[in-house]
Amino acid sequence: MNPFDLRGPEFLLFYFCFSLVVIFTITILRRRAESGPAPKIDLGDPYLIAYLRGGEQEALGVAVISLVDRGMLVMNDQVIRCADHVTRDMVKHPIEYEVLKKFGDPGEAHSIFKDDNLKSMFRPYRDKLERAGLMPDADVRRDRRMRLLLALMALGVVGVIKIVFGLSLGKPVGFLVVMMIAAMVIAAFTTFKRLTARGKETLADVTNLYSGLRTRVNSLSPGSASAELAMFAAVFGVAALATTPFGYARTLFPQATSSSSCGSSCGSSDSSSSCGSSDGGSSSDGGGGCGGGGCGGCGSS
Amino acid sequence: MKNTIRDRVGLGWRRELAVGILSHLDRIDVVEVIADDFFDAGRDERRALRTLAAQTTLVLHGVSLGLASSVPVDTKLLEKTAKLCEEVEPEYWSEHLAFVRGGGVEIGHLTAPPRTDATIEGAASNLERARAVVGSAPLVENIATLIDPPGSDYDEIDWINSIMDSAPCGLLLDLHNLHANATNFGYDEMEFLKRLPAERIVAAHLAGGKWVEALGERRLLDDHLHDVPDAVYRLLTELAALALHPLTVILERDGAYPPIEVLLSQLDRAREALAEGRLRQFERIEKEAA
Repeated sequence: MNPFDLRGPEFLLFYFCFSLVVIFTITILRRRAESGPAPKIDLGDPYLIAYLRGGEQEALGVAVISLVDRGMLVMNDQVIRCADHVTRDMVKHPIEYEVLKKFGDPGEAHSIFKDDNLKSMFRPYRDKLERAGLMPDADVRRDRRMRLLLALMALGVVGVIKIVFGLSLGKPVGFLVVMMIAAMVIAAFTTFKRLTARGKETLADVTNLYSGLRTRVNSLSPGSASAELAMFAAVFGVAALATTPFGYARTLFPQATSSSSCGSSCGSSDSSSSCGSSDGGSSSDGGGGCGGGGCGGCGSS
Repeated sequence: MKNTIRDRVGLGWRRELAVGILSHLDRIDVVEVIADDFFDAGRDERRALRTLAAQTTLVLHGVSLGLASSVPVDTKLLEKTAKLCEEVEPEYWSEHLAFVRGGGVEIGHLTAPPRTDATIEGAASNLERARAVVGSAPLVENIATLIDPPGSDYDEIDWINSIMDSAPCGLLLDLHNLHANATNFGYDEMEFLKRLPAERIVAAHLAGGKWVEALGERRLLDDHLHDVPDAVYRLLTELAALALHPLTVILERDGAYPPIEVLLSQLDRAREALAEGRLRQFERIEKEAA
């Protein structure tokens, strides 16, 4: 049976099924090519995990939350600044240091998402994850493009032949054109995933290994377990903090947490972030310190 | 003389300790996972366990086989152990010399069986079945008990040695169990340790416990909720002085979790105890050679 002899609706059904087969095939091929046993990576680095899960934005959000919890950043509603007592040797992680430096001048927490210098700090992470096969490197991207090209050719050739036939017979081809474009877009969408199949599996494994944090986070008190807080935010997202004792994340990143759980209270100060005035008060407890002024150690070197 | 024996020190995997463990793998040489937690786990959980195994040396520890019993071990449990070992490829797996069920009833606790010929033969038979099904024999672990098992014909050391004589397996020596039993039943723990076949002690467990009232007496309960007492480190030093091969030492903590730094400091102390024992061993060997 020649499918091009099919009438309009029957051909549309055939093309729909054909598209599913093509998309399914390139998806399976991609997963097979990109799967593999979990690599050895630093599962204890919250910034690596956050970057794997959500890129620079998530990792920077984790850095801010962690530094606020440790009292190195003080917040006044959505505005944060480096605490007065902070010196360079108090943080070992270069990302944390750069975040502190940025907030030597007070600014809104979400302004870090637009800072290209901070974003560039994650290039080594990207390289590390590419080497581990968790994010697509140049070879993987080339293979993806090749598979997509073949898929688009298959979808295009079959679609275009029928469109030409249809036009030559004066038949309507609008539905087929729409379906062809949709199939191509979906094929491209399923091809260009941010993570490799191995990366996606490893991320799921990390989430599984840290699943105990979901219940444990509610028993943590601000300032007492920063490593666990940072890892919770890295694994489950800053948004997931909205309903925990670390609800100040809601104040710092209202957009990130708005889809999580906060309703009418979004944007308002809670007990851990409320500040009366900018008087340079205590800044030693996470989220509790308020005030203006500069940053003694981290903004100046 | 330099200590060339590469002993390793690690922690029992608990989800509550995940951040502490995974953030300090430079100070944790090996992680021990409770095998039973994964017997009926889904595909995702088992894959996560393989991911954990990719990060560090992993060993499996069972709690439900009930090896020391005249009742044959449940074949299904052995098959689950075998499947898990095949998937995770642990360096070794271990089980307790305990019974956990009788007459079809699950006791829900690691219980000391009567120390008789029947349980020695039963344990040997079960160990042989375990080796046949899993592909390797488990290390067997001595257990703690608050009561001397009634109906026993052997004391604990002779009973363990008889099982070791009749089954080709290594020993996972729980030093706190040894300390607790020696304390509760009034025998010399160092003598007990010296009578064990040192060449077959592959690994050791460290843990803590608390004093409880039992049968009108004060007894030491091995609850894994407290810090490791000094006596256990002394036993570890003695063990390191006796064993000529590398040891794997696991700190067990099942609750009341302190900050990870506290547990890491206990691992450091275990390393010191091992180093002290190794030094004593080398001095002894040098003296004998001279």
